[in-house]
Amino acid sequence: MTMEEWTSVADAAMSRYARGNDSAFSELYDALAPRLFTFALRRLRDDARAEDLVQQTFLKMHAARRHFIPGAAVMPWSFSIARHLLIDRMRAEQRERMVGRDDAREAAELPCMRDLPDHAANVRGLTRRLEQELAELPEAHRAAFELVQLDGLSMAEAAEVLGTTALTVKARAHRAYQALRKRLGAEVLEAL
Amino acid sequence: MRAVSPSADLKARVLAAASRTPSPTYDRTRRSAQAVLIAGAAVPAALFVATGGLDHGEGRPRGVFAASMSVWIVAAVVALWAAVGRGRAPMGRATPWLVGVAAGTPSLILLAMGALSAALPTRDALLLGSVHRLAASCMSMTFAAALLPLLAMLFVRRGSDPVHPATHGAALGAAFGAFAGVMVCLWCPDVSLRHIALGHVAPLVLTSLAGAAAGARLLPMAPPRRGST
Repeated sequence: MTMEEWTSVADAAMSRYARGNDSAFSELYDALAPRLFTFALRRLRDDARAEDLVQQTFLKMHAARRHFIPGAAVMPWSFSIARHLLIDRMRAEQRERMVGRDDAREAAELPCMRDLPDHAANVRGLTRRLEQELAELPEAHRAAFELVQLDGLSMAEAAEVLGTTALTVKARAHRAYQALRKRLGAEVLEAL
Repeated sequence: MRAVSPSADLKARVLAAASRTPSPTYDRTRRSAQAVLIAGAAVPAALFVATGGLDHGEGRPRGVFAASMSVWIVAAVVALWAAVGRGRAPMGRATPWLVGVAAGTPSLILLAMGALSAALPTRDALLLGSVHRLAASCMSMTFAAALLPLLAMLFVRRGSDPVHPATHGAALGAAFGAFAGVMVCLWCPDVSLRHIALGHVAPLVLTSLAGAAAGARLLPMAPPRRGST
C-alpha cells in the first residue's frame, strides 16, 4: 500500500472509531503505528521509550475520540498529540537528567540508520552530522523541516500539527533547508 | 522516508489498555454539547428580559440603533464562526486565525463604532451623549452574559486541544463577548463613543483574557493516567 492509501485507511478507521465502532481501533493502529513509531524513535533513539510514547499517543486518541470530526484527517492530529507528549517528556527528562546519560545516548545508533545497508556506511556519519546541525536550528524551523522532510507530512498536515498556516511551514522548512545546505552542502543533503 | 515498525506485542498492550478505559463517542458528545450550549445561551436571554429588555434601550435615534446593531451582529457572527467553527480540522483553526479573532474583534468593533460616530448625522449624540452614565453596568452585564456560554463551550471542548489551548480559549472569549455584546447593545440606551469603548468593548478584552486563562486549564489534553498505560 502507498502512503496515501495508508492515510486514507487511517482516516476512515478513525471516523468509524469516533462514531463508536471499537473494532476500527485495531485498523487505526495498523495504519498509524509504524509512522508514529518512526517519528518517536528518531527523536528518542530508544525502542522502549519510543514504544511508550506511541502507546500514550494511542491512548490519548482513544480518550479524545469524541473530539475527532468524522471525515477529518487523522494524521496531523495523531502527530500533534505525539509531538506534545514528546515535548512534555523531554522537559521532564531535562529536569531529572543524570550524569552520563548524554554519553550513553551519543553512543547509541541513530534509528534512521538502523536499516541502512553496510555499503552506505558513510551515510551514517552524514546522518549524524545532519542530526547535529538540525539541533542547532531554531525549534520552529527544525520542527517544520523534520515533519515535512523526515516524517513525510504534507505542508498542510505539518501546519495543523504545529498550529500554524501552510505558508508559514513552507517558509520555515525552506529556511531550515537553506541553513543546512549552507552548513552541510547541497550534495550532502541530496545524499541523505 | 522509511517507517520502522514497533514490536509485535505493543498492539496488544495498546488495545488492552484502551478497552479498560471507556471513552465517549463523537455522536454522544455532540448531543450533550448542543444541550449545554442551548442552556448557556438561554442565560443571557433571561438576563436581558429580567433587566428590562428592549424597553430599557428606548430613546436612541433609529439610525444609530440600526447601524450599531449591524456592527455588533456582524462582528459576533464572524467571530463565532471563526472561533467556534473548526472546519474539517480536529485541532481547530491555526494560531494566526485565533489570535486574529481574540485581538481583532474588540479592535474592529471599536474602529467601526468610531467610524459610525464620525459618519452619522447624529454625531453629536454619539460623541457627547450621556457620558456621565456609568459604564460599569454594561461592562458587568456583558461579562455576565458571556461567561456562561463561554464556560459551557470550554467544558464541551475540554481536553481537546493539543496545540494552542490558551489562544483557543482567548478567541472563544472574544467571540462570546461579542455575542453578549449584541444583547447589551439592544439593552443599552447610551450611544456615546466613550461609553461604548468602556462599557461594551473593554469587556471583550476581559472575556478574552478569561477565556485564555480558563482555556489554558481546561482545553489541553491531560497526560494519560499512570494506571492506564
